[in-house]
Amino acid sequence: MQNKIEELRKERGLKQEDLASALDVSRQTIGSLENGRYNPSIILAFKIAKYFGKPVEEIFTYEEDDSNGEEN
Amino acid sequence: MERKTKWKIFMALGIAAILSGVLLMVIFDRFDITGRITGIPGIIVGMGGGIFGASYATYYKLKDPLKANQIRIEENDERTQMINNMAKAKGFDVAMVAYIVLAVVFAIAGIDFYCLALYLIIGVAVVCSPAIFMHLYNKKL
Repeated sequence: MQNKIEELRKERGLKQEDLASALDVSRQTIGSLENGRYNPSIILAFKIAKYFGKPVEEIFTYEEDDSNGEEN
Repeated sequence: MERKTKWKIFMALGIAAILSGVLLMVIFDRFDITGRITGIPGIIVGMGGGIFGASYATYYKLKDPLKANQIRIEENDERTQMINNMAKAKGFDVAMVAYIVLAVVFAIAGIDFYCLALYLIIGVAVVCSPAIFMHLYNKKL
């Protein structure tokens, strides 16, 4: 899954820490989301979308051949 | 219950365990009690020390509002929770291998039959527990 979190964050001049604090998650989670290592839960995806004032599908793009981002 | 209160209770339990262990040591010594049972107070004191130490460390962190907020975020962070769950699952796999190796070692070493049987029964219960929890979660979710 692709996302525009880093782009939107930088547009607003925010640091990862600021966004993490606003979303009540750790800074590491923001880092992992931005570089695509971690896919958020639907709740966090909606929180992110609400924070940036955009629809979820505008921030997150699902591609058919995507894995879940979790390896066991 | 306030989070700090919870850790205060754990600290009190730790101290109570240490004191009861020491009290048992004194009683065993005073009444000349011997045998394997004399090892129990030491275990109680050790467990009490562990509970007190861990509780005090968490309580100390919670006293600082900045650290307390960081702990709250870490505890509720969904990625941290996912990592914890994955680590627990891997840890369980490792524990299972260790369990089987130990069972073989115990059998070869010729430990007491009842001890080996107890070890195997507990092992089977532990191995079966994920299936039980899967069944429960399947019904719940």
